Amino acid sequence: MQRSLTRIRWHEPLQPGAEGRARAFADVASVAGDRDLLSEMVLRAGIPIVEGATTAREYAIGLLKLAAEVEHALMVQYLYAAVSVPDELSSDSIDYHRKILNIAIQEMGHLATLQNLLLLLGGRDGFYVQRDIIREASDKNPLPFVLEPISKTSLAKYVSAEKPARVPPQFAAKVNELVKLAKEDAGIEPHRVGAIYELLRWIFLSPEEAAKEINYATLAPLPKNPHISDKDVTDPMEIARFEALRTEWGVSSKPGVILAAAHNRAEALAVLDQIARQGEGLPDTEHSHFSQFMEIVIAFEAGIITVTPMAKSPTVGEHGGIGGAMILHPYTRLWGEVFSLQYSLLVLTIYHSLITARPSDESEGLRGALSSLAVRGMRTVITPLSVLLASLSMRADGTGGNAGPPFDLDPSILQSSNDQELTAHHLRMLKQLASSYGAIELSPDFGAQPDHANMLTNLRNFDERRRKLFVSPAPPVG
Amino acid sequence: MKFRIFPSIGIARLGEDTNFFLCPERPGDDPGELKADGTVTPVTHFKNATKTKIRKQGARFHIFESEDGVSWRPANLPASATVKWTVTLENKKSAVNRPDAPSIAPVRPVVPDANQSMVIKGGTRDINGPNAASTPFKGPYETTAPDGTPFKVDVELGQLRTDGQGRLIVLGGKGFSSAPADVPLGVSFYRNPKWHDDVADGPVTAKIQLSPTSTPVDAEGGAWVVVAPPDYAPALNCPVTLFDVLRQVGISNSLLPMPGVPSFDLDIAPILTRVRRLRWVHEDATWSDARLDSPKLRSRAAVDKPLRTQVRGLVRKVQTIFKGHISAGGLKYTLREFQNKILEDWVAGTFDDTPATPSAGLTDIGLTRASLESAAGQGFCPGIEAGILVLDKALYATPFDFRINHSSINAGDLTALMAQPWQADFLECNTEWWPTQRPDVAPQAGGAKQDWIRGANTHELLVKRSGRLGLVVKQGADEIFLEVERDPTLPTV
Repeated sequence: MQRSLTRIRWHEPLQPGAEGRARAFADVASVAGDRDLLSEMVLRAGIPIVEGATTAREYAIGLLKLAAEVEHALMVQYLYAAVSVPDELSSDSIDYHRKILNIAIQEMGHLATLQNLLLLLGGRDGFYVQRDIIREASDKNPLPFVLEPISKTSLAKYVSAEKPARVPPQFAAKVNELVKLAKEDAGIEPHRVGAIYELLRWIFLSPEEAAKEINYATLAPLPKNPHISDKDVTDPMEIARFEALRTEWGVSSKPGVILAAAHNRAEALAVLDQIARQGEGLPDTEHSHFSQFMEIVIAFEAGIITVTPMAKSPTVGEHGGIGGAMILHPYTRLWGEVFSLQYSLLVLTIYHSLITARPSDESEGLRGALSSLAVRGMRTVITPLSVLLASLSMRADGTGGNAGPPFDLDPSILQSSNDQELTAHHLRMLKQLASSYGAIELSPDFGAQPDHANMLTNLRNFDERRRKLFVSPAPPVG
Repeated sequence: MKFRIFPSIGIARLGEDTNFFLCPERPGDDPGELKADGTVTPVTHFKNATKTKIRKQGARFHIFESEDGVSWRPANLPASATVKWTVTLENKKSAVNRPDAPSIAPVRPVVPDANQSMVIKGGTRDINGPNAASTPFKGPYETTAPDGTPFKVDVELGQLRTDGQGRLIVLGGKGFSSAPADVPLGVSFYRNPKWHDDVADGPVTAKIQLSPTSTPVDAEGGAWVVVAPPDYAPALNCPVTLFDVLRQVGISNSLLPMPGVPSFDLDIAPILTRVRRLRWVHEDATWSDARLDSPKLRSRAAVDKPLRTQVRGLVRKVQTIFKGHISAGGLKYTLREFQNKILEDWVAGTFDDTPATPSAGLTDIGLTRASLESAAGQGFCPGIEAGILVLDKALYATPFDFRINHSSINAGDLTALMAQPWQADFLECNTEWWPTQRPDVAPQAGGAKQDWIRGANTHELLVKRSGRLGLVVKQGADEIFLEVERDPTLPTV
């Protein structure tokens, strides 16, 4: 099934101030504490409108897709940032590579949890793992996609994206400085990501709960009945067949990773609250992404973190984001193509697994085999390939510094939910990879890198696992 | 005359079959089959005839004697002598205060009073004389189901046997893990409340009475036994073993010397062999790199230094490839300092290349080394046989000979904070960590590799089917390992 494009427009209601606040709270008692701050945050950032949505369900699905793209983009940007920091203990006994990597893994959990919410409202056809489509088409992209090594500017952008409604006073001055830097560099408005989650939370409130809070429907052209009810949710049996579970995605060993299921409106609300507390929106908690990035900022400014220079948004053609520095060194370019294909296959595998029903017996089936392949791929392919690309030059003349993993993604591979079409994508990209491996081996630069031969063997072995899922062995001859 | 027990720490392993083989007793040896005539030969089968039950691994303990307390030899006891062995076994896993993730520093397990019923107290057993058998170590495990219904099950933690010469053999439990109905498994690789298993550990002591009228003498310091999960690749050892970890504890605390000039055969080759053999249980092409097979590795020549340098780089890759996904302050997989020194000396060409082989007979340090080299020393998240607690120097008796001071810990403490149950960790730790205990892939005849865990790829299935999985075992004298004894009726997906 081909999907229609979701478009988001940011509606800026009356500016907060006495008149705006009076209108917003005209028919409710003023809500004390954090809810008040979050509402202020939304009023300042703007209310995301899903164009064409006429029901709460359509509106929620549109916002969930936007949120999914944001989580996907954040995850990839954090993965890139992690590659730029060596995997070793710094002088303060913290491994900052691992710290950033763990934040990226948590964003993966958010992305998977959002998939469960999309399943809740949209059934099997609701799954959505794109990264750039809705954001790029939005009039105000909440998070421009830029791959860059750790720097004060990049950290400023992450802090701005993850900033809570109430900034702890000890960070206020620093956060203001960082927010200003993020806006100057990339036009990032703080709180836009938080606003998405606040609106999602509001949509999932029951009418009784919503009556106690700000009524966004009076401030923006939202659907007439803007709250989800349990009549909007998918049949529980369908949910049980397709929901993403912790055990199948290798995160049962990671208590800090949120990967939660939702079977009704109330559970969806609880799950959104969990995500917001961990990263975006709600007042800060000690282990929130905001707190962790502030720790990283402090360490960076103290000179504790060593950063490996890498290119900004290296690409082999289909960057999908802002800017994009073309990798021109022929050998690096080949590896960049390999990386982008493997990354694309990883995203395809995750998507393919999600839309494949869980077997009713105890076997893992294709769904389990795909999720296991994805987990294995993250650990044994994406990570070492990222490190390899960070060691190679952008250009043959040595200018441009070292490259980095390009994370180019062709969105067309994720458009259909037809199993045969997805299988065809797997096999086509496997063929492209085989061709790239051959070209690498023929490259004059290959012989000087003995570890690269081992990498190719590992990749071929991994690809063979994938191929076996889709290609039956040839019958014996005779 | 003084007496001591060796190995100072013995490793037994779970197995549903009542039959057993022995833990390796000489460095570099594989597990051994104890014959009726007392000889030990290589094991030919690790499971029962139907390949549905793993045989237990027994930890055999020997009495050594010494006049000076420095040089130890196997005790030559008179015919009138008796040795009375005493062992206590406990499992505290379900009862202890357990964090959500393994501790990154040694911590003593604490059992709250309210959880005492969840301690599986196997009890204390005595045994003496040749070819004897004790009653099983058995104790109740009591807890409640989520709805409050009482749950009680008897758990067998093992049994004592003696061989034809009256030496102690400790056998472990059957690999039985359970929980009340409706208690989930798989919430975590480490902490699944109300689940128990039947690993155990505890003290071993011996009283030697040289004649019916002489006063019994205690073997100095006793020993300790750990009953661990099965080892599914019994001849493949971790690049960093538990012996290496304890040895480094001794060195770091000035209780043991840093090794001097290393011997290629006794110090360097074992490290290289362990890394090279990873190719049979883990897919990374690093382990199959042809440089690891080069006959020039034992050359001290300067012209071969580049090769030695490259191969050291390959060895060090265990630190990245097996590091696992841990917290920012979590422990990394690292070679021990003395291992790095050995490798450094090797690269520099300052090593002894005189051919050497381990002692043909049983020696004090050889028994301890063989036992602990069969156990995983990295990574401690939480580990397999024993965890980070072993880094606590206060655990050990002095002078340091890898012996646990019985007044420093209690029965059940070494295994208390290992994964609850052990199958939860085994499932999650593919691709990294300990492929030598829990293979990632299993080599097949013809060269193909299959996922070792196929047919048991969920927590519940692994609890039910762990005895039916295959083992990766050496074939003949050549360095070929294949998966054998997998239950042919086990599904492949």
